[in-house]
Amino acid sequence: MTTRTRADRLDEAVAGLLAGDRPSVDPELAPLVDAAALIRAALSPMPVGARFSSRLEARLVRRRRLAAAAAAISDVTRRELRQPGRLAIAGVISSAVIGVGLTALALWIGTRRHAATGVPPAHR
Amino acid sequence: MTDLRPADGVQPAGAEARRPTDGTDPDYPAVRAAQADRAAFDVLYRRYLDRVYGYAFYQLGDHHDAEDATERTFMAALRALPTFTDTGASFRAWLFRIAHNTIANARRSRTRRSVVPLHQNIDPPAPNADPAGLVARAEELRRVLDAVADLPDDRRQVVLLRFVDGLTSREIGQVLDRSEGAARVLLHRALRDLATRLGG
Repeated sequence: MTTRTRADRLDEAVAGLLAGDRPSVDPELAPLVDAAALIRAALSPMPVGARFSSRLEARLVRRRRLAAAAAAISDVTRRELRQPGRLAIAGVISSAVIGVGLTALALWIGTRRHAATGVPPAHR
Repeated sequence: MTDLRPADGVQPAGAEARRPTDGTDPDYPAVRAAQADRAAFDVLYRRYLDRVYGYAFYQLGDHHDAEDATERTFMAALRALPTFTDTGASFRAWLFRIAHNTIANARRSRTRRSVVPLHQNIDPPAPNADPAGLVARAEELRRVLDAVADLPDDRRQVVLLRFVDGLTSREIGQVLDRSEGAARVLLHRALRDLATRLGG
């Protein structure tokens, strides 16, 4: 319990030291506060290189855009899945459109080929 | 290697670490803004870049490794930002917990690599400074950094989080998954070790 009390008092003294004060403490804690002052002076802030900072910022911007795009797709999907009837009708219609389109394309290709040769299919 | 197990006499984080911050977290408005619009994350990035980098540098002792860990930390924070809620940990503690885990992974992955002593990576002082004073200052700096580097892992973490990043004991407890009281005890033990070593 004594250690805990000392730890609390030391914590307050360190907080004062970090705030720029020179806290007055009892002699028992004084060497520890002196050590804290030395450490504070030695562990100076480490400035980040400008190139690294701008490179990381650019990467974060790219990541944000990707996340925004993914969120938009996710929103659309979630909205559509909330109405399964509408999704089924959309599926049926799009399948029909694709089927009609493919049939039309096949007929058009066949017609063009016959027109180019001038020979009806039955006489080849 | 980072050891997250509680040390002797140090209790794991309890309910005290999970109290809401009662809106006292100064970063909370910026966090809410960034959750609504990710572009607002820039504010938090600029506010904490130096401190996260400093924490990584003093842990890893290498500028390139520190940059890598810093980048991973901010990428992970951006990804996880929507999940951040005010459940007791400040944003600062949450961010440094990500940094702590990222750095722990970096340290694990390079255990076989040789690491340059920390004091060799500190930038030299101004060339027109007093040479005798420089030598004495460099020697003191080397002693302090070596003493910090030789601390047991959990005590070193507490010293760095407190003196480099200015976290409170409560926040340090949240980063290291300990109680506030346990973080104070760790700081006391770390400073006692350092006072013994630096005083001798």
